[in-house]
Amino acid sequence: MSEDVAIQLRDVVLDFPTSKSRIRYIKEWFGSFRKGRTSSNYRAIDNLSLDIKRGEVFGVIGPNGAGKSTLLRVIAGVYAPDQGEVNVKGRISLLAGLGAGFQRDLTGRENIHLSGSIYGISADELHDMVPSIVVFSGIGDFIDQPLRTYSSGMRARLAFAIASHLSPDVLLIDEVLAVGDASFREKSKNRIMGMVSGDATVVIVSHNASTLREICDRVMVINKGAVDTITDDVGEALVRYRTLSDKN
Amino acid sequence: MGSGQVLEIRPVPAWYKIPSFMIRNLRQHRSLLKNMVSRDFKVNYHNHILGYFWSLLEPLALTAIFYLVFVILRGDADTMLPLKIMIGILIFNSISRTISRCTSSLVSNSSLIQQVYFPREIFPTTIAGFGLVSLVLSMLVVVPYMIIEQLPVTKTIWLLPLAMVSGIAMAQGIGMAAAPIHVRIRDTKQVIDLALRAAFFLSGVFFGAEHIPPEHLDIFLANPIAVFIEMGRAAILGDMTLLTWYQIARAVAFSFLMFILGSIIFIKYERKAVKYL
Repeated sequence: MSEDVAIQLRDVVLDFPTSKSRIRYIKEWFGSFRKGRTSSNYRAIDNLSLDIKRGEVFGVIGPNGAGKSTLLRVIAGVYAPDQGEVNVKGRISLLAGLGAGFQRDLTGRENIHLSGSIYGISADELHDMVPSIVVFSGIGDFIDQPLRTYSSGMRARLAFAIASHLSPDVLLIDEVLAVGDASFREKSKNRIMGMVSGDATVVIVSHNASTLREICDRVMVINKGAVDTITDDVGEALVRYRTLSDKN
Repeated sequence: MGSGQVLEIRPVPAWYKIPSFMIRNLRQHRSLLKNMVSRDFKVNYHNHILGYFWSLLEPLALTAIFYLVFVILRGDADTMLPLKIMIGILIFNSISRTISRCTSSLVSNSSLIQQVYFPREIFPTTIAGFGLVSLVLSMLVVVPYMIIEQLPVTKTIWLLPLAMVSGIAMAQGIGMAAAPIHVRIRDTKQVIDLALRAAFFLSGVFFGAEHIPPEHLDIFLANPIAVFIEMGRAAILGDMTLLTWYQIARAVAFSFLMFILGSIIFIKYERKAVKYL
């Protein structure tokens, strides 16, 4: 893997069980024998190869069910490919669903430590980061209260504050993270833009044309788990995406 | 992870390399492991000392009831029976809770698994670590009993840590083998819990090896959980006439084989299983 490549996918194939083959209980299993078994898979990622350069902001766009979120999870290591190879250089964070590992009965501060270590931040680094996370979240004295006393907005703000302090080498963003009230949304958007314009390699899944135009160096159109188009002309990618969406 | 490091999604190694693969992963993530175990303590004991006493309440209450029934009401000669029962309950409960929680460890952490990648063997290892530490802490209730009954600490005491470590290792192994199956078939935990309830009566929690006719003793002690409980009793009472070294070695060897087998099954199938979460 060459020096300036941050994310490399080689002929990656990922199969997923269809809902029919997701037999949950013994009862259903017996039922499926009677009906004839359907252990079919569908191909979520189909022979996909991709190189993303260090520091690049890479947009991913595609129709519903094309495999956008699955692709991010493959890059993050959540799903191991059935075939092919995935190599990622450096610390990864996947921003999809915030607040990894939050516990209702722990205080906000304890949750920062827990969630931070789940994201792979060392204890020393975390120690230095906590005051800034607390300030950014705007939670104030509530930080030493259990999470169950928080409003859902406060919980989301704390989660975003942690996520935005991760300073990963590779940042994977699934859709736009809009949490909290208007002023916090503004603050978080600036924060994401800050992370995007920094050194990190960014892969962003979005349907928002203006976001993609604003920040992406290259955009990939993904369809049925395979690369449809990769281009540095965002406008061209958007046109292609619309034709694909209309077909479906 | 430094910035220059490559996070390679390492392929699952050959089965005989899996134990060392797992140990390396756990060492690499030991600070996370420590945080997860301490989270379990905070959540379970609600951050205050009373929480710890609540966790002792069940074995204490059961022992008190047995003391009342067998020693005071029935006038049974064996005043050590309540102590034996308490040791039995403590060891059995922590083994059974560890098996049961490890079995559901992938399912109960599904949202976390889909958000962040770290080696999934951290989940069952956290549960086993919590189980072992809390077993040691709850074993402290035998100390006042030993003082009141003037039981000396004898050289058999080392059987106690051996029994606790082996018991929890076996429990983690069984739970790890069952966890990927439980993801596919969600009745697995019910089956395991049922088997554990049967094991409760077969492992001599409420009676001891001395109540088993000698000709059946070897069959009774073929159950490793029964051996671990008897080891705990022998350690504290300083009397191991009912146990042979062969039975101890067999149970300990079984538990470590189970641990290795469980890790191999878990690591081999966990990546396929998480797609079904």
